[in-house]
Amino acid sequence: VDQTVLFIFFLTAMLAGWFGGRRAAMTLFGIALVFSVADFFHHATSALTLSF
Amino acid sequence: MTARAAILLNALSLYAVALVLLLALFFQLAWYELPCPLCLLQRVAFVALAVGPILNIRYGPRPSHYALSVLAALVGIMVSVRQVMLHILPGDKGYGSPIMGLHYYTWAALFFVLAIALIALVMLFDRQFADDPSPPPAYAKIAVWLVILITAANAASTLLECGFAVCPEDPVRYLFLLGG
Repeated sequence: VDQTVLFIFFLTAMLAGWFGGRRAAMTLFGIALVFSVADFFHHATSALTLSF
Repeated sequence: MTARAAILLNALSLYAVALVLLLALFFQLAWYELPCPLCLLQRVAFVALAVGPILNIRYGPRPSHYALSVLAALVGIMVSVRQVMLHILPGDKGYGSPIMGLHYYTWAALFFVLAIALIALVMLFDRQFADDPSPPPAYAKIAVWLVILITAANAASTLLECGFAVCPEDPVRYLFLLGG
């Protein structure tokens, strides 16, 4: 669900930007980007299952 | 470069992002290759890459809009290079099927680096920032709505795949359809 939320965040940023909320779009973008990096660190440290 | 020319390039970049995301969805559905969390994060970074061009098309080119795309591309590089490193050992077949010899995450890393280089090139032309913004042309509006629709499709697809839980590292079925 974490990536679903991220998609929805960026989708909202796009819609906000397109319908006149430039500042809101940039704020949403910033929040979503920080969450994206946090989610990356969560998954980047997952145990690696070697595929061979 | 005039603002009008910059809008054309921004619209083309949106079509490129749309193509990448559509190809990813196509491989997911046609080959039943479900994206892993890092793969999904790369798609998220592609979606994030599109926010800058949308703002450029709507409000006219501004350095701050290009900066958003550079930040998104940096996140994309971080995620895709991490996945390349996970599968770099000799004998590792990688995650998913290769496309023209390279896996999706390798293509993604190259694409994000290319995006930063192209943004730097476009930003060299100052005149685009001085021109008064004009209403977006039809081809640019279509590009914007195409990316918005594909982003919504990705949100729905990810919900189907992961349900309301954290996505498994090696997904093999759509958890939402199983009641997850």
